Amino acid sequence: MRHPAVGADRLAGYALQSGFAFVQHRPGASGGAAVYAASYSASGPPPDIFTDDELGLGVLTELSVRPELALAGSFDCCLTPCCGAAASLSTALPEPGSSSTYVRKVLRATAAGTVTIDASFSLNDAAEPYQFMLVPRQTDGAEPRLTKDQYDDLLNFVDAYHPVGVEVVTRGIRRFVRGFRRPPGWAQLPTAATFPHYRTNR
Amino acid sequence: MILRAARGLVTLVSRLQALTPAAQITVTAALDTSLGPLHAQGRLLDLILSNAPTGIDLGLVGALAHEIGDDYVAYIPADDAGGFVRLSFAGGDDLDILAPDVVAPDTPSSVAVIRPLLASPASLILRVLRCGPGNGTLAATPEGGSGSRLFTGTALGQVTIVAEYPLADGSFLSGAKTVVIAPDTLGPCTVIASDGSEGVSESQASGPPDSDFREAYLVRADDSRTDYASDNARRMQLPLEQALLQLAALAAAEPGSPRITVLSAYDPAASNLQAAGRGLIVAPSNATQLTAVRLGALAYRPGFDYVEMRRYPPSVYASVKAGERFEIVRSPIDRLWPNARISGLGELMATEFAAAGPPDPDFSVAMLEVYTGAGVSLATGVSNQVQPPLASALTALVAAIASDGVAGDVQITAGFNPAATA
Repeated sequence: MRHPAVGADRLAGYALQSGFAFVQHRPGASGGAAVYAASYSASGPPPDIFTDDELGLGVLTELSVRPELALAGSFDCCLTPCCGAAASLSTALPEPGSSSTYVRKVLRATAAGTVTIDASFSLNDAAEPYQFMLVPRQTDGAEPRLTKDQYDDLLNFVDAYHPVGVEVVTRGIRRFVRGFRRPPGWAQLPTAATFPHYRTNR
Repeated sequence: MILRAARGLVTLVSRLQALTPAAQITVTAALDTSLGPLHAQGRLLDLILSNAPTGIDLGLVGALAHEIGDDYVAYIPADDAGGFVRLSFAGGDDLDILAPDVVAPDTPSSVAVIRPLLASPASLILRVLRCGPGNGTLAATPEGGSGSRLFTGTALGQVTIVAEYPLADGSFLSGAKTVVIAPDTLGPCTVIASDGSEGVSESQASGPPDSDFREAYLVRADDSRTDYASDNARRMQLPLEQALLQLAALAAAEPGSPRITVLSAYDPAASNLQAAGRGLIVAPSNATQLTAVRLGALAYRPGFDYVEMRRYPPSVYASVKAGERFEIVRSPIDRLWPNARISGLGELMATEFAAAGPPDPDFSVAMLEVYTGAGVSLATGVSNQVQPPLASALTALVAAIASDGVAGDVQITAGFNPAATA
């Protein structure tokens, strides 16, 4: 079979979701790529003893994430087997025009046991080597507040005592500074322009 | 057999009969001091299968036993001693305690050791083990049965009821049962945390708003058992959606299968956790089927960390702690590689006959029906006769394609052909 608006690769996927017993993608079929599919007999499919968290040996399943965060960043997926288990994680055929960030994976179990799949998404906003970031520690839900004097003291302290060659990223605490007239473009100002330097060069 | 073996056997039979109600498991060996050491301790069972339909065999019973977590499973095939499955079990609880899973506070419930039969029930020791704010008391039953007690929850939370029975050699049989003490209803204006603490603040129970919150973290809830008052009432972070799903399931289990309505969820202007998509207001869809005070009690049970009763309208505000930002979901393969073949269960490079079964030995054209479903067109000369299972799969295929908004017919280029070989 074929479909005028669906490629044979995707049509085969639809056939799998629809309960066919056997599906084959035939790219060399007469007249163009086609899908061959067969149904079970009248006695129905074989018993499936597995729950949603289990996968039969040798069986493939596709893994995706929900929601696919519409943010700039990088996505990573890894597999950790435990207690004799083994499985492989490969890349699924991508949907044409789909985001290259969220690559769907195909999991195949090869030895019984438990495996853990870890998916992580990095917003690419972490500190780089030779950097550290100042962020507020939240405890009771209240947003922290800094007076301008406290902010000036803090910035002067890290300016004076940060290790040579190490950059301190303080942009994350700027929005908590309250109780003073903020200059235009406060959030975008270079850090050095946001506080007075107490120490003068000799 | 020991209690753990008995429980494993019950679970196995239950799972097997869910697959095929007619199948019977027969235990051919259990406690037998003339056999090996595990037989002599009642920790080993030999099973055979009878009355099983095609496709259900001892190999499947063994796989089921492994799947439900039995400690050791061996399938001894037919050429060795007639064929049976052997299960063995590590030790565990000795005493089976019968008690409710959930009790309301100040409502006495019976707690009893139901097996094994105790020679001297008066020697039974039952006590309440606390962990957290949950608490309760055990008292003698009015009829004075020494093998049972009345348990009364005195503080919301969870406790473990422990039973011990001394043996003549100085050792003990023991068992344990966890009981949740939860209210039947929550009164108006009640505020409660998941650990049973009352009068707490939302930030104490569910934590502060996410300092790095972004709207992109929100999912769109679409549970069929739940109504949504607006589109924003569907928007929430994943942990909140998971708690809502549990609440909808608990509500649906109430008499009349009542539905619930999310009145509001994500609200960027809210002063509570709704601003971060971690709080929602939910109410019964039909107050004659489910009251708000009962809904509040149900909300206390599943994954919500903070529950606050509201009066106007009668509703429940509930929120959760910060959690996973996304979940991993699995599905059948979406796209199949060129030349790949796959079974319906997902086995790659399966053969057609292994996946779908060989041609029916008793096939006749009388088994065929004419396929008349919409969304399918047949190439010239292709038969429209199919067996009923193929018609069902074809109809499901058309529906799946249409549900994605894809227009066009599935074109069948080859179908029933008595001369076909594969």
